[in-house]
Amino acid sequence: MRQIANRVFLLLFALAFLTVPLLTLARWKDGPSFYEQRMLTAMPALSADGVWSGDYFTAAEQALSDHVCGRDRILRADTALDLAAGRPKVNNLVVGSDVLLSVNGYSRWSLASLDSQAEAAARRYASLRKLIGSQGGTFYYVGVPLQFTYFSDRYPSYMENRVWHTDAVRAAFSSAMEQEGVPFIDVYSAFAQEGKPDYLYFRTDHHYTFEGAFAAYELLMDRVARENTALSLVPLGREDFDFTTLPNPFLGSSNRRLYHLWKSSDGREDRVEIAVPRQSIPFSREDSGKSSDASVFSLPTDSAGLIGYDVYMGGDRAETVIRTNRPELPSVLIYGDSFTNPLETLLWTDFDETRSLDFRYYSEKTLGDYIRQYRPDVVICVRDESTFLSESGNGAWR
Amino acid sequence: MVFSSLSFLFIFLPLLLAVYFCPLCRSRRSRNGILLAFSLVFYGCGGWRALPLLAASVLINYIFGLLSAPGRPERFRSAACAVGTVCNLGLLFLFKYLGFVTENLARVLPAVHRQSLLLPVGISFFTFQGLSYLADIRRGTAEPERSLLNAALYLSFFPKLTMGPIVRFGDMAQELHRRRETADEAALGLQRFLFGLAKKVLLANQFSRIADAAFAQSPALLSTSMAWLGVIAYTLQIYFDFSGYSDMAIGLGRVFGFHFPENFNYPYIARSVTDFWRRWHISLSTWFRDYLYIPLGGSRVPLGRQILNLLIVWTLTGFWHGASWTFMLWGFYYALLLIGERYLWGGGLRRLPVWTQHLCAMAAVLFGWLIFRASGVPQILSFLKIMFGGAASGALGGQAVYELLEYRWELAAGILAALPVRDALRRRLERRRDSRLCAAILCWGPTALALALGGLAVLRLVESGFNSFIYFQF
Repeated sequence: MRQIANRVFLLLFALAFLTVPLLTLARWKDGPSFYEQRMLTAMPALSADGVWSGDYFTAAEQALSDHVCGRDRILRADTALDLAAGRPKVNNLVVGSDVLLSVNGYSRWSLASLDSQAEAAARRYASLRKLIGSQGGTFYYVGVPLQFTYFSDRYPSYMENRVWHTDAVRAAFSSAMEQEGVPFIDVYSAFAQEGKPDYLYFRTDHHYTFEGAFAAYELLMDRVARENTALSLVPLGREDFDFTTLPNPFLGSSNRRLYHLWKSSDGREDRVEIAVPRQSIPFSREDSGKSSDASVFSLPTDSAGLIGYDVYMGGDRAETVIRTNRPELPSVLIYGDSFTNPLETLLWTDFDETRSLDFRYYSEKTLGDYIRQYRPDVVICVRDESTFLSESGNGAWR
Repeated sequence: MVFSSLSFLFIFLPLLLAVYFCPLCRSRRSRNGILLAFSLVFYGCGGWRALPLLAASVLINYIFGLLSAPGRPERFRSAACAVGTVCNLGLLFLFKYLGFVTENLARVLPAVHRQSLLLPVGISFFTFQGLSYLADIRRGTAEPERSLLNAALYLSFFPKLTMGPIVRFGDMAQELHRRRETADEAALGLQRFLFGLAKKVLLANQFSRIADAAFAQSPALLSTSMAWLGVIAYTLQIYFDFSGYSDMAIGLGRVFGFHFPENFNYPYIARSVTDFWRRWHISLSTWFRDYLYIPLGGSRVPLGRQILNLLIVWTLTGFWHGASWTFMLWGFYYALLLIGERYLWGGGLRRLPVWTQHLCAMAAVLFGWLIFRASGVPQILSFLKIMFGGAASGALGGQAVYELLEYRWELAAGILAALPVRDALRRRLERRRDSRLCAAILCWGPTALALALGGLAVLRLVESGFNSFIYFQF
């Protein structure tokens, strides 16, 4: 029997260790990884230097790891095992019973320089505000919490939620912006006053929900209209929109990292909501200078397919322009990271022309030059709390 | 290239097996040639720049091995062996210790500048094999290898090339010329390989995450529990990392008909530090015993000299592991413990209950690994302070709770696998071999377990690129 067992073992071993390389080679395909949202590593070019130093073999190992046959299935199985094992952290996410959260390291650092950093950032925005003012516009900065901050109380007691840092950054930045006279809309504090209701943020994505975006929109537009009566803004209210919850399963950024395997203990699932004005407003849309479909939602073709946060505006775009041909209304420029996307699907209804920039992708002009060229009536910066003090990406406006 | 890489598992190994067992290549010479060629490819995957050094080491040992062979005048043989030894040690010094020596000299002599060369993988292992080869020929306990192909294969055979075990020429010489590769041996070898892979990927790599987190944590944030957990995790990591590699090396050797000596024998069940070193990295400790301790006089010299011999041997054992003061300190620490056990408290220790002996030995080993893993003496002292209640962040931190919960399955499996549970289970099953179930488990159990663990290891390998071996740096 021992001999039979050994023969069977050798057969299975040979089958596995010979078919994997053959199938890998046969199915090798460069391109993006859907779940990881990154490009798979391509096989490096063979070079004498690379072979001599060993870099070629290191890169080839990475390429092989990225292309091994059945990779998605393997990673999915590995994730399923980790979830079944009840690990508190899977694929670098804190797995709660009803929410997925970012992992924060167990580190601390001095906050001594926070005030000076916040003051420097506020001064930059004050000079931006001055520039906008010189072009006849007004500036608003909308600070939005990330999902892990919003649900900071959902972390298990032994996990780091980094509230000590986010609270301090928010307080320092808010105070510095006030000192510099830059209008700052603190979405976290407004939501906290409402008791931080669950429905304002996704459980499986690091963004706010459409309801969260709508609440931020109301906060923003209420203040813009109140402080700029000359613009004759009459923002649409909740009653002016038709809200629809899409039936499609939602693939949030966090659950995507878990291969859409995570289910909350209460059985509730995140859903995507959209809203369209009850009274139709004709508009045209351009993305990076090219005409696009006149739509602010990238809707799925069927009701069963997975949808993600990129439903709003079709995801992050370098430059988008929406024109409604209502010259009596003011124009707006909104810039920032992906938190702008669902806001844009609402904002355009209140303006004649809505321009949107994302400086992670847009590089044609500086924000200053853009403002000088188009002279928008209102400029809105939307950034999450982790980027308040950052000078890169959408923090670099010069 | 490492065993726990996809390129090894899915390209190198299948290709080697296919070529080696190809019916066209049945002669011993061609099979040895195939193994040598693949060994060079294996080593070359770390960069071809390391190949000239390996070639130099092979040529030095081959030539001086022939020159040290019996049949020549004794003084000539001694001189040849000495020159070969100096060449081996010279290469080791140049590539491994020059940076350390010049760095420390530069601290006292400003005219000296730090010089260092890139450390080639496995240099300590193949150099020690070369040294033992020359010494064995000089002593007459081994015949020199006349075939350059076989000498090169002995020194550079890929399973043991980069991380041991340190195989003496006498253990391999016969099998270089005559060996039998059978399906049963191949199956058992591959099973051993998969068990080793699982040890490395499923256990050692996971424990390294805990240990790295603890040793990277700032002292102000490190809790007492996390410090203990970090040291325990490192204790498990280094065992499963190195013994896993040894299992893979021994298993692969078996596939090709070679039988390498065991390198580990459940070191964490040792009852004393002396016992621990009989069970840990056996090929290294016996190397130092046979080629340094005994030639120095061993224990057949006056007491003072015996103590000096132990201090020399163990400080050098530490230094062999790496060119840093902490490794020397680690070796010195074991020298003191072994001297103490032999001359002071050994008798008293043996009279204690067995579990107390285990506890004392494990405590000594744990602190040994703390010295081994720490970045320097300040970190050792800081860890000791925190481990014994001087933690600024308290006794129980959230990080320790998290690490325990995250890796609870691995910790449980690791503790079980570090104990001779498998052997006990096998003995029990063999006693009941008459039962069909027990016989079936004995036959199919290892097969099924090896495949399952191998499959899980591949899952983890694809998931994570984290797979460098600790002993690679030595």
